[in-house]
Amino acid sequence: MEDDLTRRLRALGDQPVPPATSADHLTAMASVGARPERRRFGRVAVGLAALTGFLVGGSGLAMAGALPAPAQDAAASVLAQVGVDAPRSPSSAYGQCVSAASKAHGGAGAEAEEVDNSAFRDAKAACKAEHPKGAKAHGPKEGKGPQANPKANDGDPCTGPPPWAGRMTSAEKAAAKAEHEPARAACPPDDEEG
Amino acid sequence: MGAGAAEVYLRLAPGVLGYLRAERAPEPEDLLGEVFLQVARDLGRFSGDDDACRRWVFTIAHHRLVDDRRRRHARPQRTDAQVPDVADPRPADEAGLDPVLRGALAALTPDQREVVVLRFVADLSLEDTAGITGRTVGAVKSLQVRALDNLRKAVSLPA
Repeated sequence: MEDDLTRRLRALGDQPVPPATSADHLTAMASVGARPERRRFGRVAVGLAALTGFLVGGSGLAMAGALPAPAQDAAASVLAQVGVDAPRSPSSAYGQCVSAASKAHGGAGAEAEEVDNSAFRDAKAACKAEHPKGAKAHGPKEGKGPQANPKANDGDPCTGPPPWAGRMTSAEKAAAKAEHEPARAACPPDDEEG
Repeated sequence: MGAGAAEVYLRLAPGVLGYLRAERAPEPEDLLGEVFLQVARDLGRFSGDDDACRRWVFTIAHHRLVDDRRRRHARPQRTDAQVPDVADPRPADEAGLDPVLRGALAALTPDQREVVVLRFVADLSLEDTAGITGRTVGAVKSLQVRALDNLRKAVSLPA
């Protein structure tokens, strides 16, 4: 129920605007152009654009062979499904080449190695020449093997581990021992050093 | 400006002018013009019914009033005109607007005046008043009760 006070308060908001003022305001409003409604891209459009960019960019990098090895191999596999020939990563190509050579020369078992070892080595060398980056990736890690040991190659046969220490076949080990053992035999005994 | 902005002006300008006068804006008609210029610019982005439109326009008016007060507080105007000895309590264009009630409104605290003017002069709901002033509905109710009590006392004892 509205009392006299609230009726008087409401009456303050019912007073008309003076006609001259009203005309000025309406003229000024007419000169102001309404701002057009902002067009904003929806979330779906932004998502589709991002997905398209990701696919196009990823495919381009895959075609150029510029992706990291696992991603490059995965992308090559996916693209091969749709008939697009993208290069595989160098290490994968080298590995496949060696695998194919191994199969061609009677398998990768010890017995096969003995039977057709020289032919397999030739095929492996051909793979290495064809995929040098992949061969490097598959090669021995730094710090492993006698070649990587600086003490073994410092020219002094009396210091450091013997050249036949490390990972090598028994034939290689025997050859290295035969070559270097005479020089090491002339070295003073260990207890006389220092 | 489309016909929409003019229609909104004709429907809501009296209420906005009453709100600005009751809130003692120094130049209510200039401020009214600024409010509806913004309405004309932004009407294309507004969507809603009549109540939402009323709430939107009075929100703009409230913000303009606050901005105007801040501006005047930060940069007080200097004048060379002669200052009258006695303040004129009623500008000429507001002479017929219930001087007793306007005096009583002027005696309220700013918070009480803001609430009671938005509720009854601007004819907004408790919720809309709470939204515009940034208060809870409970706080608005409380301020409204105290404001109406003070106004009743003031108008029953006219100076």
